[in-house]
Amino acid sequence: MRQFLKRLVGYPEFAPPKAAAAASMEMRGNPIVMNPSRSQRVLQVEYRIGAIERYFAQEGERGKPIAADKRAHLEAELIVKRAELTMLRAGE
Amino acid sequence: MAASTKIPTKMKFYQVTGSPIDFDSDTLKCMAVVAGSGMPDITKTGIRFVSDVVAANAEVTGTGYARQTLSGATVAYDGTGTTIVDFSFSDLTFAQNAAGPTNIRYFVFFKDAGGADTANPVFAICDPDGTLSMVTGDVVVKSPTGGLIQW
Repeated sequence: MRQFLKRLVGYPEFAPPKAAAAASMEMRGNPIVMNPSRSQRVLQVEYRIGAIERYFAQEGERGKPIAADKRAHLEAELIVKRAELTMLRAGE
Repeated sequence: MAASTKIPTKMKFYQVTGSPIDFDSDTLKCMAVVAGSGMPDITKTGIRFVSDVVAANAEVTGTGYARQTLSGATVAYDGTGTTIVDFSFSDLTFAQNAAGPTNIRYFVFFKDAGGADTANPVFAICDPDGTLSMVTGDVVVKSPTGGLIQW
């Protein structure tokens, strides 16, 4: 009986990949938090700093230079966000 | 109901069938709409353009209110994994005004194609989990942790 069921449902190692393959094609939205707690704000700011830094670092891969005005905007935002993060971590 | 961000199904369809949005360089904007009879329909028979949204959820009105352009858009590989790409933007502010709207219920993110709303595709609908007012203070929309959209 056990052997019969194994043949019927197949062996796990031969099961086709499911969620893992589909996940990379999924387009997913993250919720916007309007009144974040301090810890949520820290995460938000840390994320945004990282996003800007990664955007700069991956400029070559995109194959087109960042426009000068956008670069200036992002560099200014980085300064502000880093200061904000320092204040948040200090509990201000 | 918790805050959420939904991607219109028609946006997913057109993103891969000839009318894609360039999240890095297109002009992207955010507008605020009223509750209507609920969140705009994001199914395959639902919204595609801004005009589809405002047919059921009117855009808010009030002194000082205007659609906000997203600045500082970033599209990059995610920092915590090796299989994710994410999109974020600088904080955007609907500035406080004593005569501003008090009935902001959803945020609509769209591409401004430069013409009528019938040609401005919507790429995200955000439910902030409550009604917001510009009368009592700035309404600031911050890109969430992980980015507004992930692929």
